[in-house]
Amino acid sequence: MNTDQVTELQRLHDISTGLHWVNDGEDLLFCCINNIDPKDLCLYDTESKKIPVDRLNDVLTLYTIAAAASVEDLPILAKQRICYEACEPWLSTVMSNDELEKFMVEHRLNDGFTPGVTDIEAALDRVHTLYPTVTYEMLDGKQNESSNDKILQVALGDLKLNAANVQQVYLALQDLFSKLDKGLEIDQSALEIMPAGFYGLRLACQNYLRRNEVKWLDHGDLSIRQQVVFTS
Amino acid sequence: MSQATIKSVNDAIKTVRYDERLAAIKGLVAIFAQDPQMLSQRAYVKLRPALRFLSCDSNEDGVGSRFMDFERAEASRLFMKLEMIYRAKKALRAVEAEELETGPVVLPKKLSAKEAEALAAKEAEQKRIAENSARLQKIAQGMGLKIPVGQKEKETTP
Repeated sequence: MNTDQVTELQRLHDISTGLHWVNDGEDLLFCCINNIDPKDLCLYDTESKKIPVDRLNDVLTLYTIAAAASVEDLPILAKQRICYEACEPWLSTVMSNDELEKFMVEHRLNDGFTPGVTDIEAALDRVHTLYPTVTYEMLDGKQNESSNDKILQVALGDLKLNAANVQQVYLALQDLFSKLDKGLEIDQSALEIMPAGFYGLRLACQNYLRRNEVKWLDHGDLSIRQQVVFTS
Repeated sequence: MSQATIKSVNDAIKTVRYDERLAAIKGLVAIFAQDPQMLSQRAYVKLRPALRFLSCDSNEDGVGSRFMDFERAEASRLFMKLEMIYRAKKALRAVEAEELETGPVVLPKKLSAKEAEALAAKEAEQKRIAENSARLQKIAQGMGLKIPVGQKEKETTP
């Protein structure tokens, strides 16, 4: 990556979730595509902040950049804010729903998840068979580190126990949660219908990543509400 | 240029009495002022020296009309007017020639200060948009991304 790209991604991070974050989605889009300092937002009136329709390609390019950037350069929350809060509402006024949906499927947020690394449902089955009743006390604390590792190794099967693979298991859990949560009502939670073994495996992943000082990755399809529910 | 006009020019410049000559030329210049296209090259080269002569002071250089100051001043004014008519005719000819080649010439409308400011702001805005588009595209290309090309489905301004 050259300096321009690094600078731009840092700027996008800063104005979406960083120190100079912009609260409003429309303002965020205005700042992103026009290279405007959020401090200068007060100089523009509502009319001049509107993005004209002929800038469709710029908005699509911004969406593509934010979606494709690696999670190290642009955290998932920043990507979600830029893509879902800033770009998507504007694009929905310009593009047809089918076109927009197709574009969003083609440009899925890069959250570091690689589908197919682990078969998460089989992993949950294995964990549940061997450890049917896992509680918080059984996995918490330094004395239970080996228990966490055992559960994770059972889930990983033949794969090596390391941070990268545990991240993938954790992301696969979130992916499953997101799929199950999709058709539910607002007062329902996928937690209630997640397969048995979910609680133990999730806790084991979190403990392992925390212990190894690795930042948890969040799944791109999970909203902030879903992330809160998932980690609760 | 009609023969009649050439004859009038000849008659005017050959009038014996200087004050009558000046009056005749004055009438012709008034006609030419209304329609500069009527002033032909032949008429111009005849009238020009005639007016020059009438505007000179004979006491100084030996030639001239022996007119009073105010009459010479009148002749000078007519001389200047003839020059202006001739230039106007040449300019009209140039515009016509240009129109034949490139179509009607539309002279730019003079803008008021407010309009000029708005135009400058619009141009600056367009320049800024172009720069930002280029910046985004450069970054996308640098990341190895294909630049998406969207098609507007809805015509409503968001």
